[in-house]
Amino acid sequence: MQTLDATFSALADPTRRAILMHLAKKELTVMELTKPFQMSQPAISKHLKILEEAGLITTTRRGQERPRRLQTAPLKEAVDWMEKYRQIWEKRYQALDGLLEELQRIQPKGGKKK
Amino acid sequence: MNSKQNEVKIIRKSETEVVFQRYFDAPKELVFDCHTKPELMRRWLIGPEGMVLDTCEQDLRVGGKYLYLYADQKGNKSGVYGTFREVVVPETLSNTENYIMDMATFDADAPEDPNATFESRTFETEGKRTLMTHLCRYASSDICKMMVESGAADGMAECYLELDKYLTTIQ
Repeated sequence: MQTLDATFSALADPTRRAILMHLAKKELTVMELTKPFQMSQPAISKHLKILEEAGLITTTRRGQERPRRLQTAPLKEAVDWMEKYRQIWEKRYQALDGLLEELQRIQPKGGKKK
Repeated sequence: MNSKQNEVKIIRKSETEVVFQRYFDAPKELVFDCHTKPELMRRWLIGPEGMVLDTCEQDLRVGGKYLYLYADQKGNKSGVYGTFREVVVPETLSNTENYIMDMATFDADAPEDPNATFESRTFETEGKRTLMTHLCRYASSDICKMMVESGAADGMAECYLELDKYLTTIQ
């Protein structure tokens, strides 16, 4: 649960979502991420720290560089969790289908009903 | 006998708006009734994880309030409340939606949160079916986050879609 909170909290910021989109394509260093966002390096680093704490990215090593890599597991977990709630509506509406059918049998209005 | 099952379709309209659409095999008058008459609402508006619609108060007119409380078998309660903004029988229903985080501090007469979710439902006849379009507008993505953290069911769609989009780009 704590992980989910961290995931959603990290995703609530548009810049962080955009960073993830960039990292989805390939690993990037802080310097490389600074360019597309026109943000200072400390600002990007701050966002990266939050993403890393949420487990959404990890820091790797490439010689002197330390590119960040996307971790999809927490995203998958979040989606699975929310899917449960989507299913609640699906279940409700299926119950409503049954009720509507019953109501139409009891009180057919207008038109011919079988 | 249902030849084909109708399914919920979710459309993301903007940063803060999500639309659910679903067909029902019944006239819109009936579908509207099922959304507004407490005795009918109780029959299908089931809550999360085995909760049932326990309290269902409806003052169905513009400016009127509603209160839905879900209860589980242990008597734990949670729910939503708000004010109707538009009532056109049997076509349109729009209202604010507030989530009750804690029953102990809940006060139905307290001023409404200006950041309340806005939702509207329209019911249109399409042949023999009724198309229901349910729009949810959240005050911000932060509100969405808050709802997710509190476990409120109806705020899921926006975040869900957001994540869904990421997953398809990632894979």
